[in-house]
Amino acid sequence: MPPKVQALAVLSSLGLLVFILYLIRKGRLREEHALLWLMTGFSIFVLSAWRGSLTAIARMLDIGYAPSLLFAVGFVFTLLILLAQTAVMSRLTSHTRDLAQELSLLEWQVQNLEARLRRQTEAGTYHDHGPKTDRSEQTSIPSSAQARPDDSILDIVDRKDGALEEEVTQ
Amino acid sequence: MARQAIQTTLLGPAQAPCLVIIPALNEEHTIAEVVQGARSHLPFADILVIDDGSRDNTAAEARRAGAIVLRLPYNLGIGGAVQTGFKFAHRHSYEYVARVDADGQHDPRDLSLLLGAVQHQEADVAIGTRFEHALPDRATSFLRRLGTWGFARLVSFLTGQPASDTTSGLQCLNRSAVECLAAYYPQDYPEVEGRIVLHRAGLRVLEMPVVMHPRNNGRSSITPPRAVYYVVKVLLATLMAMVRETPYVGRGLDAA
Repeated sequence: MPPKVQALAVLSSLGLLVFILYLIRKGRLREEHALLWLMTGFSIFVLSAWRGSLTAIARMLDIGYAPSLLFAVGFVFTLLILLAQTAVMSRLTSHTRDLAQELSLLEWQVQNLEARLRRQTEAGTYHDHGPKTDRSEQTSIPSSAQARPDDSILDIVDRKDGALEEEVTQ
Repeated sequence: MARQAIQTTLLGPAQAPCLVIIPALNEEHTIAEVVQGARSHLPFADILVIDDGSRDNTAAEARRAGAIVLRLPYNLGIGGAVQTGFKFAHRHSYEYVARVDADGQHDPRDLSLLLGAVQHQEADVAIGTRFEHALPDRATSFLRRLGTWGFARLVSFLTGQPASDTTSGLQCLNRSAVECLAAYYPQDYPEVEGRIVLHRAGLRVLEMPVVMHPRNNGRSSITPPRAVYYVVKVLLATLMAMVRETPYVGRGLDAA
């Protein structure tokens, strides 16, 4: 291996290792995701710093130009890292999907409860706090872009509640 | 933590809680009609529209028509939207769930037919299929029919059950099936893979002939490049569904 190539390989793999450790220390790279990166940097560092190992493996595999083994190792690790990233992405995709679904389900429940509460208040349970109710209504639905609970469906919900209560009292 | 079904409509004493799921993406022109159609043919059912990130007035129109509306924060794809409906149904303890497309290609009259089959325990899932009917079928193009035919053969081969229309979104499910699909449902183009999921969970699927209308509005979401993606993706997903390790929630868990 020409000394310039070796110097370049040693320095860049060392730089990579230091940068990875820096990112982990800063908390910007999680250890489980950094593992493959660390292995990449470490194996390239060993192969380029310890010349004997590179030539021995290259001879064993009948590789004429030993430094090309460095590329092969780097390439294999790159593929592994990409595959691992796609796997992580798939998991995140299902997580965000679950969260989006959960959000819509809970949003509906909140609107439903808010409307019920408002109705109870209007029905006179808390007459004394009239002005407060107005204010809380204004703050509970902050933006006009947000979906407002629709009255028609909630009317029906309340009618159903009313019907149930009547049944109970009878 | 099962809660009571919402049941916004007034129930007859013997009527089990039933939910109609309508996934909708930019269907402001047809959604109200579809909601009303479902209401008039299943007057005892609650109607749930899942707005899959529409940029038009779909959610407002659906609310005005009296449906319960869930709004997804961004577009999840038809499978993600339908699964949201299954989760809602499972959480609020509905006995039966019907699913209709929002574009008006299904006839709500068929819902009671499908619901009847599930209620009489002829199957866990009844699916309205468009090919076994005597009336001429104008709603499908040749290529789509070819693809559908191919996937139907595949599904029959893999499940050992007759299958003719594996892309149909007109379905009726009982509680076991809803629980199964609430736990796992493919995100895009879910119908074919869904059949395998149901099969592996030990649930019975019954196809029933229905007529589908041409779309009232808008075109099919499947353009030529997407068709290639569709075929490859669904093929892979379907075969993988046969061997996937994820245990599908089956009838054993819900029996009681």
